[in-house]
Amino acid sequence: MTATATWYEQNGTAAGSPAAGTQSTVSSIEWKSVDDSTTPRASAPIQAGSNSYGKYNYLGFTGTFNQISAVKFAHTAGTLGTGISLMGKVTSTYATPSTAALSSASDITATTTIGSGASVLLGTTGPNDTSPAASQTTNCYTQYINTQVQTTGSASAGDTGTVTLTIQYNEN
Amino acid sequence: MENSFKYRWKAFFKKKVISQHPHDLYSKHNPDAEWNPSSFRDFQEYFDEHKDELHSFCLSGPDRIYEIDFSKRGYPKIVEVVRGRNWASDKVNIVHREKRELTDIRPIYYRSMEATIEDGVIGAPRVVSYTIGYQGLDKNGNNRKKTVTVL
Repeated sequence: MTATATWYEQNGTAAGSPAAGTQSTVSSIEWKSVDDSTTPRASAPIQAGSNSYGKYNYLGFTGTFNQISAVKFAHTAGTLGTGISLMGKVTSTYATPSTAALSSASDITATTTIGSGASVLLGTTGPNDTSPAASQTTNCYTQYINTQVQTTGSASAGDTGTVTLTIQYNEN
Repeated sequence: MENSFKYRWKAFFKKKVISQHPHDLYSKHNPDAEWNPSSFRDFQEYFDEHKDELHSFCLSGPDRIYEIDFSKRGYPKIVEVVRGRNWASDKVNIVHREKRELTDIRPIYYRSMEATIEDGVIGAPRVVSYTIGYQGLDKNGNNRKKTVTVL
């Protein structure tokens, strides 16, 4: 058995200390014009010249493992299309998602290898753990992987191209 | 439960052999717990009490074995054994032989896992490689680490 890795998303108003949204387990991650984890992107398209709501996704590790370490995240394949940028950052801070341009995010529109991806730390209390570390030896969560699609007026109508995002980690 | 490991580890101590459980379960596995340590915790616990008794740490796969040989104290070496049709036709390759004396030596073992999100759909994690090796301190206090990664 390997560790059980479950994807989560948080949405809605930031509340509590440290701040968090409302957590859902997800089987898909789609950028769209509403802040939820359930509406299909076809039902909430992003108008050319606008941005998607920022997404706050993270992994939770349970099951059987001795240690999880060296988590990395990257956009590894595919393109969204002309006039569409993919922005991303790794953070322990949740803020109420909006369509405003994601602050302090990197442009990850171009693909890279997972080895050159962003390092993601792990916390035991949640993605907003105030003391995350490079490895953990009990059930734990990654930091938030905070992404957003930003478009210009030149973006084509219709669905975007297909991209592959990759997360990698070591376990024993 | 599916046995999904292409390579499994085994540790040979002076008086004990510890093997990775087929499902990687810890000897004190609690089926009701949300999280349990893996078999590697059994190794770590015994190793911490019997550091000087570890002879070798192996990663065994369908056609080859990687062995960290600790039998020469302070000078570990990494050996690859490519299995032949019988033991007499096995081919032994020395991958790395430590030339500097090391102290505080520990074996290294981990699996690299990868999960992808394609067109928004989250895929299941899979093992992409296995890594085995050792680390220790040289006489200047520098950490030296050697590993072998197999797919």
